[in-house]
Amino acid sequence: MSETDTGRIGDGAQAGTDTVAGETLVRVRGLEKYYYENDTIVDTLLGRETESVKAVDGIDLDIERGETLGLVGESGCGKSTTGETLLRLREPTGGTVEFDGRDVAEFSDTELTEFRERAQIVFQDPFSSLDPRMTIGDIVTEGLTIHGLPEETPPDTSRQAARRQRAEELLERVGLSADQIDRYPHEFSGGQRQRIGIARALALDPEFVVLDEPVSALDVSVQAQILNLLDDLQDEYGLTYLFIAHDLSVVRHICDRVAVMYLGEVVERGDTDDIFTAPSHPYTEALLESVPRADTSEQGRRVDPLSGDVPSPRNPPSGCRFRTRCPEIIPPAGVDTDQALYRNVVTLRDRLERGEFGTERFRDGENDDEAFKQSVREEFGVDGLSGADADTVEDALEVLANGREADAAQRLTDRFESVCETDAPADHDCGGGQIAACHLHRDDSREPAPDANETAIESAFDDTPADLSDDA
Amino acid sequence: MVSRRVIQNLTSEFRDSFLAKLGVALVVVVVLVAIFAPFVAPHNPTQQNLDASQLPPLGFTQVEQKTTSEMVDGELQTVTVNETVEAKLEHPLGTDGLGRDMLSRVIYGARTSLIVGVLGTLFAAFVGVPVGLIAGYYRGRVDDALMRFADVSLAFPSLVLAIALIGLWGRASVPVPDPFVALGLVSGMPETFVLPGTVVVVVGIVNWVWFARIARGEALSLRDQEYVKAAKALGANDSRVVLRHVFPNAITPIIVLATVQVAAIILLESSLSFLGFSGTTLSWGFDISQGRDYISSGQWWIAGMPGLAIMISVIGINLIGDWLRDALDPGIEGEGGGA
Amino acid sequence: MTDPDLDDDVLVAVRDLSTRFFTEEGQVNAVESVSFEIRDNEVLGIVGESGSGKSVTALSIIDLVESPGRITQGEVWYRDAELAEEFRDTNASVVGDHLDLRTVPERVRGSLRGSSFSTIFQDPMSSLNPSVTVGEQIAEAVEVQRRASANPRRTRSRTAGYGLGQMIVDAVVPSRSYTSEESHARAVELLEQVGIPDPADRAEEYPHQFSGGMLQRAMIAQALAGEPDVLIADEPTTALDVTIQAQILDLLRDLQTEEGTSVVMITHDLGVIARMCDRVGVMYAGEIVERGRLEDVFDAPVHPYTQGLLGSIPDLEDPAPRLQPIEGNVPSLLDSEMPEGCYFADRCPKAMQDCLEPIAEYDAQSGSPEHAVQCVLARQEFDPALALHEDGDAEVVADE
Repeated sequence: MSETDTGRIGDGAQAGTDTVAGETLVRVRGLEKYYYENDTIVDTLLGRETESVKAVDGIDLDIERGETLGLVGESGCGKSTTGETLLRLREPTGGTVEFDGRDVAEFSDTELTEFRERAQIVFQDPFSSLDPRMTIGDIVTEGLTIHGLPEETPPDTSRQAARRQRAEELLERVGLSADQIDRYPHEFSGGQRQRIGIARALALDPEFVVLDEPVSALDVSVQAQILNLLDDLQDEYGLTYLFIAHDLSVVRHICDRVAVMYLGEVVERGDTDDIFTAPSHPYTEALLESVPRADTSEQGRRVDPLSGDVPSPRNPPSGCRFRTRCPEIIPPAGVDTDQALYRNVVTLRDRLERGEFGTERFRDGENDDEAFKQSVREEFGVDGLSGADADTVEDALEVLANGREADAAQRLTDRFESVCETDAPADHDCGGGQIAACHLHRDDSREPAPDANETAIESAFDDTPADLSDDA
Repeated sequence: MVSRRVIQNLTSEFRDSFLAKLGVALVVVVVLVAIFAPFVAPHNPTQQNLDASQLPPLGFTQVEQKTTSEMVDGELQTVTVNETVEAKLEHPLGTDGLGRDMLSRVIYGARTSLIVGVLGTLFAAFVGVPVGLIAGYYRGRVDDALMRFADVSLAFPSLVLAIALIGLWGRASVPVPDPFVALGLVSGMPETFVLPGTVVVVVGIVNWVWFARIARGEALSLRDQEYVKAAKALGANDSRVVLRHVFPNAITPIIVLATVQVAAIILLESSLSFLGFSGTTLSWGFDISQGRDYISSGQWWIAGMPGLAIMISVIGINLIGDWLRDALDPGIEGEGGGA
Repeated sequence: MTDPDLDDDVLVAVRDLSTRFFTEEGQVNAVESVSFEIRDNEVLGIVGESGSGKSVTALSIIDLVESPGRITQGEVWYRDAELAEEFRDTNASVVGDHLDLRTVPERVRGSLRGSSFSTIFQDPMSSLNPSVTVGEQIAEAVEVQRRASANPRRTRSRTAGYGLGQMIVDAVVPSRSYTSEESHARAVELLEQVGIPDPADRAEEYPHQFSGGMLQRAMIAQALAGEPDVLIADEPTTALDVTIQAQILDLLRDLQTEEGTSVVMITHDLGVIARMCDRVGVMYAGEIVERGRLEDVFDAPVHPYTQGLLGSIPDLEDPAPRLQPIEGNVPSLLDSEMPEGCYFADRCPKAMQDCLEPIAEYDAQSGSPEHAVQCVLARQEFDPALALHEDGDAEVVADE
């Protein structure tokens, strides 16, 4: 029995009891990760313009010691990139990540090595996350080998043997049997492989573990086993988790606090219970609404789903990025119409703006302007407006009938442009630490106390691309 | 590093495939013959015997027109006599224009071809694989530059490049003493055989690009595997990641490529010998070029026998390549995904 | 010939269907003596974990099991008065308007694909040809059905006119397109029906220009081309985000109500089952271990596997402090490794001595005539004295 090994596990348990609640372990400010396309030599030679993909665009997160922070969002929202950038597996293109008060980007090589011992990651895919050519013993002890651990071994025990023993203990701890240590990954089922991945992450006795969709590839019955295991390990070793997931029920179950991401930005964060019972951001609301519950009351329930798809992060919408799908987009003062009608007008405007309206489709042979306008009205459902709103639309249709698409778009913009398009929403405190980046909460805005500065910087930054895309 | 399952795959694929067995059999025969050439060859391949020149292989007879000039009635008359040349048992594959035993020459030629094939491939892999892994793993400008260079070299005809390089560097031929003869185990055989050194280097240079490309492709896909990220998260540095995780998982296609390359390099060596650029006078390609002149006069075997030998070994090696590809390709991944 | 005992509203009845895969490792019992019905205008859910045989069950209905798999026994009754009449005096089994598709020639079964049975798969990206426009692919599906129905069916293949000769002519003569104007117009109509904006323009685009959700809509449009009686949806929303999933589920619901198509919904997601299905079958290790109306199975589950499955999923509304997972792993389906008795016994917290014997299916559970369970607990209470596993807990995870 290696004393060093038990000692290490003991240390972990110790850390668990020592945990100071409320102490921030990971502090993320304005984190950005842009990818650049068309930046090869050939592209430069051909004079192609470099395109940036804003995978993560200025997010703030605080992860407190001992807690589980959930990072939720749909595919492509940047949540996995965030997780990997936090651990410096990818280099951020902007912003800072502080781990235990120190800026991760500033770490020297030795500090980075130490950081690697303290922060670990568990991946989603139980098949590609284990090297198929290594035994699970080698996989679990790899971290120890890299860091030359354990530093001391009892007499009569070689370092090799001490590592092996540690791996056996870890395998037993995650629910596998120690005599499977010399097998290869392909001999295990998905759930068992995920346990191996967890054992590998725990081998270095980390404080912080990024769990990148750790259960989404697993069957539900196995998923529950892994969630329980993660729960137990957190209690036992005092771990801090960043739990990345798209499955909201899993997040509800395991997370203390939640941050919801949309298109590279955090749109809402707060305590899990608050967010799930009273979401403040329309996106969070729609997300929760969409999840099918495994309950008979669910039968035949129709949800009002979000329309359309997530826009491309190459060219995100100006202002609030969710506005293209938002069911509660705010009409400008003076526009008095219901949400559906307003959205139809905006849709018509967007189509005109993109220059792919296809006027001839509404020109059925030699039909006159009146018939043309009528068919556009029907297609886009912009009938039923009243007063000045109706006049503007009529005006725009008239211009459109004369073939001036851009002009028509401009007229609609002048009247119907929403604050959601022009201004990127700042973070608004909705009470109880629940923060939503949405203009709907402007009025009850008590500026979020702790990081008002950062917010200001962030929104100032966000304005720039908004202006650019308006010009385009 | 090779798991039990890989060996299982290899054996089961071998058991099921006639072509794999054939390939292994052919290659084993060629390799054994090449190694033990002094014991197998019935004659000294360099020994000339003008009395027994141009003998046909067993089972063939050659009708030769002998022209003699005689003085008949004070006039010089040319008399043409059709003479039948019979094959001789001691020269089963016949003899060449100088009466050297074709069988012995083919046996000794295998040495040159295999050594150039294997060393050339190793050289190419030794250069190409690290370059490819580095380019694919780091990507960016290094990758761009290397791969553009690779594209250009691929577009250049390899034979022309080889000839140019040999022309530049000369034909360095290294005589290597034959261990069997040196130990006195056999006598009457050549004491040395000539290793065409430049050719080995040149075929390596001509072919490294293939290894670079395939290694790069593998590294590109492997660098994004989650286990590679996991190793980085554990603190592994780049060299550990490449050596421990990327290279072992890229090895399968590289091995398969290597078999194909051995065959391709044997052909390239033959072409160079044929054109007289290799510096050895005992190789399949050299014999083909020698035998070329005789084809029109009917002595097809002088070029044909070494040609056949090239064909057999290339087919054998390619069959082994196919076997390895089929056995290794299903990949370790994907397995265990069922049920 | 057994009497299938079929009600009039039964569109498809599967009886005792088994599908085996004959692999190098041995015989795999992917589907094991499965019985269920698809009724008119209903959504039937089949739920199970990976490897439970739910997809193979669906493929077996439409006879699309690929080698080395084979349907080894069972009947697939399909209601089609015309077809039943045609085969009444042949070797095929016919009862009333129903006929057993397993007893009719292969080409007849083939002719029903697309026109009677359509399928939507999980991955729309790999189900469409990347080099042909979406509209063209849907038009092609329409065209096949149009040409087939133009031929008097009888026993002739419904895909007549789509043979090699025709395709060569179409390829060689550029002005001849396989699909007609009408089919294209219909394709655009179908795209509109599945909620794709600007259907006429989008029809000219290629699959890579579509997002995942749009592609799944296009797939559905293609599946609707033959106006099928049964739409088999195999994990249709698994690859999609939850907000897009909601769109697709709404769409499937609407189509089912409007067109009166019966839908077979195959998924691992109990939430999707709850939202969509009228009746549900729970599969485990190739068997349907419990089936019934949604409320039977979800509110009064009898089989410990069903109970375990429902207990395994975290509740969105109520964060229970601890989940109740099913211990152990999904079993291998190798024939040589399958036990005599209940396949779930080694993981079952309520396994008893009787579970080691072959288990019969008991119907009419919890007062519902449609609720059937394959478990001894349907007949007797759990008796801890007879329990197989101590403390009612299954073996540790490590033991495979």
